[in-house]
Amino acid sequence: MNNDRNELRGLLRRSFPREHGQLLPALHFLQHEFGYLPEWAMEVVGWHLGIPSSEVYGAATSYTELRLHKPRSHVVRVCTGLGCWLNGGEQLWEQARAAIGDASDNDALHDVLTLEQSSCGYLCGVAPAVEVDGVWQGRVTPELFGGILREASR
Amino acid sequence: MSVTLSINGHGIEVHDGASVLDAINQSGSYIPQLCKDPDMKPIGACRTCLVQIEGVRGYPASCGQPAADGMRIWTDTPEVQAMRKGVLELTLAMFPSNDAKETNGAGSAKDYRELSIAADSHGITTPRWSGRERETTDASNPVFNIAMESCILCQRCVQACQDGHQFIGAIDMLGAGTQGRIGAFAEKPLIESVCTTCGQCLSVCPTGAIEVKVPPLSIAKEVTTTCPYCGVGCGVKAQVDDNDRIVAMLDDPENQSSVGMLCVKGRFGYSFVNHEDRLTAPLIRKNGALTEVGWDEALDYVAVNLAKYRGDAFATLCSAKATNEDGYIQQKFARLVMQSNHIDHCTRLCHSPSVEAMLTALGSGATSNSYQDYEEAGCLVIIGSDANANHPVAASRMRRAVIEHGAKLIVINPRRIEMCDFAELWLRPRPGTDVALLNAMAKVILDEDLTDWEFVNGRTEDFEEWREVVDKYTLEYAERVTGVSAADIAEAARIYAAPEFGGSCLIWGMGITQHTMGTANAHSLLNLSFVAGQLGKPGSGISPLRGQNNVQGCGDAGCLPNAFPGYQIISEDTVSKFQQAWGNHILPDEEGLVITEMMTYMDFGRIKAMYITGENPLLSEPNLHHAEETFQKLEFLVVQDIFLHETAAIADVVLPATSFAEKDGTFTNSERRVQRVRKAVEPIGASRPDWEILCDLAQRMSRDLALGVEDQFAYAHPSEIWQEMADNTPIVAGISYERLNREGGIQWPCPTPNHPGTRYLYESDFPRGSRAKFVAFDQGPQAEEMPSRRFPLILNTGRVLYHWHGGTMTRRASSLLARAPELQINMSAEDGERYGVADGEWISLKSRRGLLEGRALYTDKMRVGEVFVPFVKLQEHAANFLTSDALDPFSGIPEYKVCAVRIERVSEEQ
Amino acid sequence: MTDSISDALESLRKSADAHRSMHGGKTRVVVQVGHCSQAVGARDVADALANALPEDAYMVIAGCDGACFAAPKVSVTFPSSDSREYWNMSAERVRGALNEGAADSSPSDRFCAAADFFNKQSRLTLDGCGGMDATVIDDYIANGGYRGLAQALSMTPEDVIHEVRASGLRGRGGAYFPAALKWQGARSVRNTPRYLVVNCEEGEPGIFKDRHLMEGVPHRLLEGAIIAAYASGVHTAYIYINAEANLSAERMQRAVEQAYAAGLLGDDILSSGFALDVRIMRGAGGYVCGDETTLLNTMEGYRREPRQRPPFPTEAGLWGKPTVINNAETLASVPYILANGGEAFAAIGAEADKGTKIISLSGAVQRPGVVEAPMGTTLREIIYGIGGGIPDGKELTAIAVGGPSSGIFPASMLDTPIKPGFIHESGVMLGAGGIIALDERMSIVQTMRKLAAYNADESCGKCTPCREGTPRMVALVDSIMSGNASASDLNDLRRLAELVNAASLCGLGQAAGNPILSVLHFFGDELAMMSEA
Ligand SMILES: Nc1nc2c(c(=O)[nH]1)N[C@H]1C(S)=C(S)[C@@H](COP(=O)(O)OP(=O)(O)OC[C@H]3O[C@@H](n4cnc5c(=O)[nH]c(N)nc54)[C@H](O)[C@@H]3O)O[C@H]1N2
Ligand SMILES: Nc1nc2c(c(=O)[nH]1)N[C@H]1C(S)=C(S)[C@@H](COP(=O)(O)OP(=O)(O)OC[C@H]3O[C@@H](n4cnc5c(=O)[nH]c(N)nc54)[C@H](O)[C@@H]3O)O[C@H]1N2
Ligand SMILES: Cc1cc2nc3c(=O)[nH]c(=O)nc-3n(C[C@H](O)[C@H](O)[C@H](O)COP(=O)(O)O)c2cc1C
Ligand code: SF4
Ligand code: SF4
Ligand code: SF4
Ligand code: SF4
Ligand code: SF4
Ligand code: FES
Ligand code: FES
Ligand SMILES: [Mo]
Repeated sequence: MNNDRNELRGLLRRSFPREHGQLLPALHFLQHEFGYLPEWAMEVVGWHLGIPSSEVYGAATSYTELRLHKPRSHVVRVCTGLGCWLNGGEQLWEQARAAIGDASDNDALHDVLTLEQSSCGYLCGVAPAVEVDGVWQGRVTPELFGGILREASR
Repeated sequence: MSVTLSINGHGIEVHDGASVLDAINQSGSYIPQLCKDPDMKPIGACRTCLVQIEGVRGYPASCGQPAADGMRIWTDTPEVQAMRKGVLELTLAMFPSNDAKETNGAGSAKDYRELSIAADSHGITTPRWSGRERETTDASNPVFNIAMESCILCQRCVQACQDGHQFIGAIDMLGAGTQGRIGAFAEKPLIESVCTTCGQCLSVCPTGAIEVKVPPLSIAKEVTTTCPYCGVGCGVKAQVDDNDRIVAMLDDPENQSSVGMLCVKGRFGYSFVNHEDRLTAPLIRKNGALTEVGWDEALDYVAVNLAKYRGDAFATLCSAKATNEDGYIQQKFARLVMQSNHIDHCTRLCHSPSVEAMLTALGSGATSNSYQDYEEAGCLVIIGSDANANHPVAASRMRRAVIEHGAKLIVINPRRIEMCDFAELWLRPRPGTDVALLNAMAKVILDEDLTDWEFVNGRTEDFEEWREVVDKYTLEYAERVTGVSAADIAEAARIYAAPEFGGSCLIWGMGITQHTMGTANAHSLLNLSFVAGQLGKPGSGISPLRGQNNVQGCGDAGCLPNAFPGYQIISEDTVSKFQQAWGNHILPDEEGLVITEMMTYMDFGRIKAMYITGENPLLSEPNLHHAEETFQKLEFLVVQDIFLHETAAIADVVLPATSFAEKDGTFTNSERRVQRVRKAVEPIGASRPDWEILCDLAQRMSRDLALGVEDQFAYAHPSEIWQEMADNTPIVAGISYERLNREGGIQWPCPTPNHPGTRYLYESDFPRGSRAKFVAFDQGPQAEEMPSRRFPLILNTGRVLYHWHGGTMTRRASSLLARAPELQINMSAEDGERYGVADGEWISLKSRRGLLEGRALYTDKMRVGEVFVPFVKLQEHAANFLTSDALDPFSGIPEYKVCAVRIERVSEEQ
Repeated sequence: MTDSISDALESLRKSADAHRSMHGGKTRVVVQVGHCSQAVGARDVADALANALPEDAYMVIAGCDGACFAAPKVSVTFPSSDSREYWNMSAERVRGALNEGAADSSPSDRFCAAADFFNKQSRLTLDGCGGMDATVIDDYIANGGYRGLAQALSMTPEDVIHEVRASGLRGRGGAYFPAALKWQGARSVRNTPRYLVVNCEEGEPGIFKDRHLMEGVPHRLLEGAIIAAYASGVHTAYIYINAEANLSAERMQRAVEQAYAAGLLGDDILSSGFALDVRIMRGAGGYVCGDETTLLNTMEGYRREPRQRPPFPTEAGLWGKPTVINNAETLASVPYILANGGEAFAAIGAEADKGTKIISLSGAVQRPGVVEAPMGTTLREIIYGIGGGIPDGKELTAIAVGGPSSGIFPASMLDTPIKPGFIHESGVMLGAGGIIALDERMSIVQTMRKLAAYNADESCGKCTPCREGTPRMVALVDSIMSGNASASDLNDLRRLAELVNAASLCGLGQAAGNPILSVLHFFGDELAMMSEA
């Protein structure tokens, strides 16, 4: 969707009744549409639901699953919870950090890839776990992970 | 029902529903309560109110614990004190540098208020932990800062800005964990948010993290009085310092009209009181120039000159800013001493169409209900009113109705106002087409049988005549005339006639009255309330929101050409009644002229002398160039004011009055509530209260002319004036200073000393009799002056939150001026581009009568073809040089809301 | 059971059998697709099977049976009723699996050893999980599903509550509040509508059992919810599912639709006249989202912050109305209780602590997974008996029981039985039943720091003790780890942990000190040594 406020307002009108309880569903919808919560879109949500924009923003910033900024083209989350850490998650995390590198070296991934820790992927039974662009994988070996990162960089 | 429990072994009885914290506070023992505001719900964030309750595990927060019978509470065991101390130490450790009393650069101890008190009481002397990083201060608001480095994230400010008080929602808690902070949408500076600078957040902050830029140094006393600005009539507590200057205004939770709220003007708009421009001595024009003189010289001079104009050549304008007592004395002076009924006040330019219509249809010209009714209503219709800007605290109560109680809000306004954000429906009629809109709504109610037949048959007359007229107003026709979709009109009618709960309130303002169709508009509103039966029951009613702080009282006190105090219309009986009341001297017995008629008579030279208190026609009248010519024709003009404004500048004599802060008296607000005004500071310079000046003058004239009425103007205190008024005015007969001081404000009608006052009118009948009167009107021409090729745009004038009318007072209140320093010409981006002016460009606006300059403001609030300018005078420019003096034939109100203008560029930037 | 109700159920069973009989005489191929198994290729396996599937076979998508270590898992039952199980299946191996002759099965030794994984469990709530089709209602009904509901609907709500009280069922979300009391509480508040919220947030690290239930036996959860609603006088229920648990949401959504179609939801459930609507809601992340009052704020569109209690949700919950909030596992245990009687459930488990508990077993164990064991089972039985002990001959050093709100046990505490609430006064709780075995690869202090850091990160920031206290605990732990801490720092740490536990607003803060307090209790000397340095 482009940044057309009225178009978005129309969409919201059709799918979300004007109730306070619709805030989270509406924000999920934005995240789904844009990959994050654009400022202007949050304003429209507040407008439609009759919730002051500061309160929309206040709520949005309190939920860890909601993104306030546009992520890079790939998002890799390495689970660093106990079970994963114990079963090789630590190495995977170091591996990813290295691959990301910093602005200085140009074959590094930091400008195509957003790297995050997850405190649990709920794959403890198949640890260690990593999530790539929303898809979780378990029993991830360093080799496998290397491949995944290379994938991402293309 | 009450509850008995024990605190530290001492029994105490508290009201049912009280919390353990309430009980502790009532018991007089101290416990910290940093996140609990006395007037708001518990939050539970600070955890400094921990106690021990026998039989309850651990250390519950007392603010969240309901008091129960037989509870045994301990606040002072070593364990619980250690617990609270631990929490307080962590709290102080939130600050980058974290002493309970941090000595800042200047070396003076920085006090964290409630937190410092709590720290002291728990023997905290040295920091237990190192401090931590905090977000930066938001200093974008010109009046106050939000300083995160002394914020403890108690969230009281958030609550105050949101559902605790104001329902504005400019700020919220942002982020999570230690990243938590107080801020506005998208981390933008507060000044770019919807913040209205009402200061409610500041008033509840326990640490002073939100604080005015220059905090007062000393507070000598606190005086409870009433806000001098608008008709909402909020209670204020004036804090006065050692130098007898007001240094802060606090809200008054006891006040039944404002229930603890204030807007920016009430809280920060007081500094005009001590402004250097205040008139401090009488002025007489001596060879062209106004020259300071003593009171004797001034009043003798006035007495001698006015003596020449007794009778029909004299007219007076009273002040809706001054007190009831001032007004009562002024009309008494005019009638008794000057033998003239040419008495009027600014209501003429304001709600005269509403009053006119209500007198015809109901027999009384006041708001029928109370702010409380807004909060109990299922539907609120706000038509032709920008309550957020002009009745902010009433607007907060309307928003509470919507947000907290789920009332449906319908806004009817060509301009997008802030209230639209909360509205179920926003109808956007073309200016001047409300009759068609309202008649069409009425027809929907009739056609869909939403009519309240019991009300119509039992309590109204002339229904059939009216029905014939409105039957013509089909939705299709209305849509064509008003531009509002038929569906929306019908929906609005349904919601209004059949709200989901409670009743419906009609709330209106100048968008209804200031048209050549003003009286027709008002009647159409009344008819609508009759056919839907939305009158005379809780949560319903009709509210012409009164404008000036005491415009209601000014009318009540008889500052009208056609009535004595209490709307006792001039007649043989009333004249003789007041002759007896006023010492059996003759009184003029013919109705006098209204302001706008006075102007014509001045033009003819039939009115030669005028006495104006607390009003500034040379900014508030339309078509000012012409108005000034007219006033120049007066042979003798006396202006009594607190500032030397445009009208005073051309007067022969200028008399310095005291402001509200320097005198005792009463104001009567928009919900008919009579409230005390109390002297907080000594008069500025030689200024004197209005009533006193007029009494002094009256006695001099009485002596000079041997009128023998000296005794009629001999009062020691305003309470005596009030008593005389009450004795002769049934609607307020039961109200006395003694009661006001004891009970707080009282709503008239209050006929007897033991009558509680009246929340809403017309429960069973009407002042005019048992039946209200339908008065049918057809939609006439939109306005007298419509856009043409040369003047293609409609100019809509009104107000902004931060200024008061011409700005005589608000230009002299630095906090307010800082928020709105320039005249903004509101227009749609489309028009801006069409007429080649950029957003933010300094431009000029021209009508057939005059021009002004100001800054172009592109805003989605305006519709293509319409521009809006507040009529405040800034940088010497004012809207009324452009406005048209076309009048509503029934009420004589000018058509301030529509005239034709064009936009022009100006070469040199200002 | 009243006739109309049993008739209604009977006709459901008939149509279920009818559907199933379509597959009569065919080879049944069950693929277990769950959150975890799908992360190790179960989808690919399913797709491969779908393509390779011969005429005389049909495929069923089930949830996982909890044997994470064996995932992806496929079981094939030939018309001859000869059946085989395939572990750690891969797309490549599916062809072989489908031909009865081929001997391609899992290595038998692993298989036998692993038998204990199931034998040592007692599966009531997980019964049929992994075998039944999780995407249609028929298998569940054919296996006696919704009998508990039919039973309940033919009793008075009061009797249902009585039955559940007799079972001794306590909430499985971690607080172990008696379910019957909660329902009774909401019921007794004369303010309607009342609401039921099924808490499937499961935002606690190391716990993946509610997902497992939703993916494997969605109808059992739904059945329990309907019963709870009936007992509590509720006509609108919300199933609140973690924002990330898409598969769970998918399966629950389907189950709800199927239930409506089958007349198990809507305005005349099993022609009993009882009406219930069920809607699915998604969370938005964060441990504290699982707290019942935070969950209410989320549902109402407010910040992710708990509310002060009282009022308790049963008095004033969602939109200020009486609201029953139950954990997924709690409700999934209810059908058994109604179908077999409260006594039957009470007979299981230890004296005071009735029934079974689902454990999320992970960390350093041979056989991590989701397992169900009676209350009173020892940690040893779970980690060694069911879990098969520590892999690669490593030593068990510690056990993290009950997640970040609980504590850490030394190996020496292996014989402690699991039970509701605290299982050791130093702050170790069963919580929602996460058990993470630790070996020498990770030190106690590291583990403690991880849990402490987690609590600090997840602190919502509303109340001062938790917001300010949790990060300072982490800082102190760091100084200890880096060896430049004094003995007094150790004291500060203990006091701070106790303060945060005692003064915080919600359960997160009230338990945030536990990891530290338990470690100070069991490993105090080691820490002391580290800090002397
Ligand atoms: N801050 C501040 N507050 C004030 C005052 C002030 O000067 N400053 N003055 C006080 C006084 S004396 C008064 S009377 C009140 C006035 O209070 P309001 O009546 O709210 O004042 P206005 O801003 O003049 O006009 C109200 C609205 O009428 C709308 N309007 C214009 N034409 C039409 C029309 O044809 N139909 C409809 N439906 N609407 C129309 C305008 O867009 C505007 O939003 O405010 C009082 N309060
Ligand atoms: N274009 C346009 N023009 C309008 C309007 C509009 O909407 N558009 N609205 C009209 C309306 S509704 C109104 S009410 C009028 C208001 O028009 P005015 O009443 O003329 O406007 P104010 O500036 O409020 O005048 C009040 C004066 O009282 C003085 N004053 C304050 N306190 C005291 C006191 O205690 N004693 C005395 N003696 N003086 C005091 C103040 O200094 C100020 O000069 O403007 C009208 N003009
Ligand atoms: C920080 C925190 C997290 C919680 N997370 C969950 C959760 O993920 N799932 C859950 O069912 N209960 C969780 N709870 C417990 C709930 O508040 C509530 O007690 C429970 O859902 C009640 O259901 P039950 O009585 O069936 O256990 C959590 C509590 C706290 C304080
Ligand atoms: S996926 Fe499992 S092992 Fe990995 S962190 Fe989460 S819970 Fe622990
Ligand atoms: S000044 Fe008023 S509007 Fe602005 S933030 Fe404070 S409370 Fe909200
Ligand atoms: S600014 Fe003041 S009121 Fe607001 S949270 Fe901070 S300390 Fe509390
Ligand atoms: S709302 Fe009116 S009365 Fe109240 S503070 Fe503001 S200006 Fe004063
Ligand atoms: S204890 Fe922690 S999570 Fe709970 S409210 Fe307080 S800060 Fe938030
Ligand atoms: S006053 Fe009770 S927690 Fe703040
Ligand atoms: S593989 Fe399904 S629960 Fe582990
Ligand atoms: Mo006015």
